[in-house]
Amino acid sequence: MLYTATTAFTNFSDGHRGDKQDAVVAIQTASVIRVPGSTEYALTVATTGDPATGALTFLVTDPATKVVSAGTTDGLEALPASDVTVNATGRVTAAAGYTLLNGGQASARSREITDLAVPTPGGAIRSQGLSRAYEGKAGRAYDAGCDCVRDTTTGKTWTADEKVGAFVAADGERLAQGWRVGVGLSNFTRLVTDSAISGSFARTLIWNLIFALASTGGTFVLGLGCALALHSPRVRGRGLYRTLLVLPYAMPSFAMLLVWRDMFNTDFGLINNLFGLDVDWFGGAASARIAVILVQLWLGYPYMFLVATGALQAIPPELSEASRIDGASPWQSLKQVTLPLLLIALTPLLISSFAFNFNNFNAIYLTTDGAPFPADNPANGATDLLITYTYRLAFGGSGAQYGFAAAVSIFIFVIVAVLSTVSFRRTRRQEEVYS
Amino acid sequence: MRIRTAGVVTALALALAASGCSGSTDDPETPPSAAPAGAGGKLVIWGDDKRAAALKPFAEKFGQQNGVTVEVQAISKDQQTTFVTASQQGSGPDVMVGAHDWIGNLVQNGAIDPVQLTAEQQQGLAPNAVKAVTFNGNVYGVPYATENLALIRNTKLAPQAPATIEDLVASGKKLKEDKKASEILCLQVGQNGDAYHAYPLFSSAGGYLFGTTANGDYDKNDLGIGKPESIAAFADGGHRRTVLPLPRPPARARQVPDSRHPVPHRVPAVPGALHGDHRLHQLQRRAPR
Repeated sequence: MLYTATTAFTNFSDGHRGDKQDAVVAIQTASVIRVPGSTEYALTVATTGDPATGALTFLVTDPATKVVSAGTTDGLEALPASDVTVNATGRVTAAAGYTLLNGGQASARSREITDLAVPTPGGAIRSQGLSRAYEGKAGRAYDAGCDCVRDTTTGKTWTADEKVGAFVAADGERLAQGWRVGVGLSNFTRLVTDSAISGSFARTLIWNLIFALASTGGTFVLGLGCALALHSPRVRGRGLYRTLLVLPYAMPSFAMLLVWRDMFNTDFGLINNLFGLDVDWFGGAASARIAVILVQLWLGYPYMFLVATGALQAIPPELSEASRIDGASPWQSLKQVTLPLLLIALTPLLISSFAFNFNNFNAIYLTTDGAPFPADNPANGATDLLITYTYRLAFGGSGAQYGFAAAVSIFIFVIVAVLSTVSFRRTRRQEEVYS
Repeated sequence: MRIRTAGVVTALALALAASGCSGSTDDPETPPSAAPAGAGGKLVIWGDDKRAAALKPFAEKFGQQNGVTVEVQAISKDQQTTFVTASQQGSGPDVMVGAHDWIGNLVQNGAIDPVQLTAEQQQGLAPNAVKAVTFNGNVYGVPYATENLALIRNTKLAPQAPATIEDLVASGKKLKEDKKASEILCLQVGQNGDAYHAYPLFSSAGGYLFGTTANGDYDKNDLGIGKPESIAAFADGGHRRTVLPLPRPPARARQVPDSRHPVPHRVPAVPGALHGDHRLHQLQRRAPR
């Protein structure tokens, strides 16, 4: 929770994951270009001191002449051929005055080996793995003095901008490798002010409310209807019917959502085949929304049926009997006696069901996955809930935007919290009336 | 025809690092691997399930030759995200096998370093594949395989390879009339379309997805979808349209195909013109943006 909240105030996203130091290292290493026509040396890592701590030396062998040179940060120096033994691949197997690092020792110091650059007139000799070295030239270098990155050939500079967490040139060009900085409330203001986002955000919010209301209300009405019908002692085989009605609840919703997705398939889906339709269910906004609500209805009504049955059985039959004797019609008796009593028991459940459906990730992710998408916005589809929208922002194919996604999820939290509080307050008042 | 470089980064260690290789060749952020000093080093390779299995024998051979332990680990899902997150934490692999179109994202996250290939080494590789792994002028991976589409023909029914798609349709229709075949051409198309498999037809009249800049890089500001050439490919005389109804409205035109929902279905041989018209209309309606 706390982490999400703090992330919402940063620009944490692809290209802004690490700190500034990481970005500088990445920019410099990515800019190293092999000097054209330079040789590829066989490399042996050696030291003049202890293998674990001594200063490193690169023993590089020219593949053509087999001349071995020792390279340190001071430069390259050829070794006399009598002092070194070279094997067939060109690697040094023994050198007077040097201790050679074996695979494990070199591996333990691989970071230092990667960082070591032996200056040469054309650039520097660097390691490529632990057994090859090449002569390369860093195209870009960080200058702490101006806090900028400078291109060594063109002289163009990119100055660090701590507000956006990137190196920016005078002409506005940004280097791809940035770092993470606090951006204050801009993720939140972006939701409201950026018209490309705020428009679709409002649309998603409204649809999300409709979805949650329709899922909760629809399943409640259907479940209650079934419960009332089977409550009457005149119905024969109630046990059997109840078992059948509860079946959808007994099946794992995960699998059922996938089955429903395929049943809505335009060409091979059961629904189109059964009714002789040719509806591209997930292709149009309205049909896709109807489809997901239908699926929710099927998945959710058994729960409402169960709790309504339980609550109905808890209502003393004398009450409806008394109302009947007083001349109330069955409808009046239901509306004025049974329902109010039922709602006292069921309202908290309805509220929690609403909150659950408001964030019902699986229902969308496993069926439409947000489709259909408008042509100009592949991030936010017609059936997207806020939570699936957030997920796509954070982990979707078009690049991770963790900071922004965290801001949206805080929005969701606030909305659900406010709605729940208001509803619970109202229930309490209602309870006071009836008790 | 688009060539997709499937495997990229792996060969880098196998081909280049000769012996005793153990540390991170690939990722400077990776701390020295856990092997204690003095013991043989450890090289960690990540790939997806299939590629990891295929790599195992080579990895073992390489390990034996060089006295290192090579661990090939299969990452079954979300390889790219897992790799970026792991290398951020310093627990990434030394070598990653992946698709070439990850490179841009991996570079901006500082997760990979260039692979310095000599001119001779580059000449030994397919030029298109090298181009695919080149980003901002640097080579970031060693291509070891490329993928391509193929048209498979039943040589008993159609002994002559068709020269054009019109030929294909004509001979297919004839076979259908003679009741020798039930379908003319089967092409994988999902509910949201399949840009990958439809690309050869999409580009047949000069259509393209992204234009290229002067230096050969893709230009994200030049989107070819909806340009007259791309529409013409599907409207040409009705032949192509009837054989290959357009994918349904390209809802995710900017995201390339949705592999998570593979509802492959065979394209009906000669579906009613109604279908084709309807879909074409939708494409055109969406086009001028």
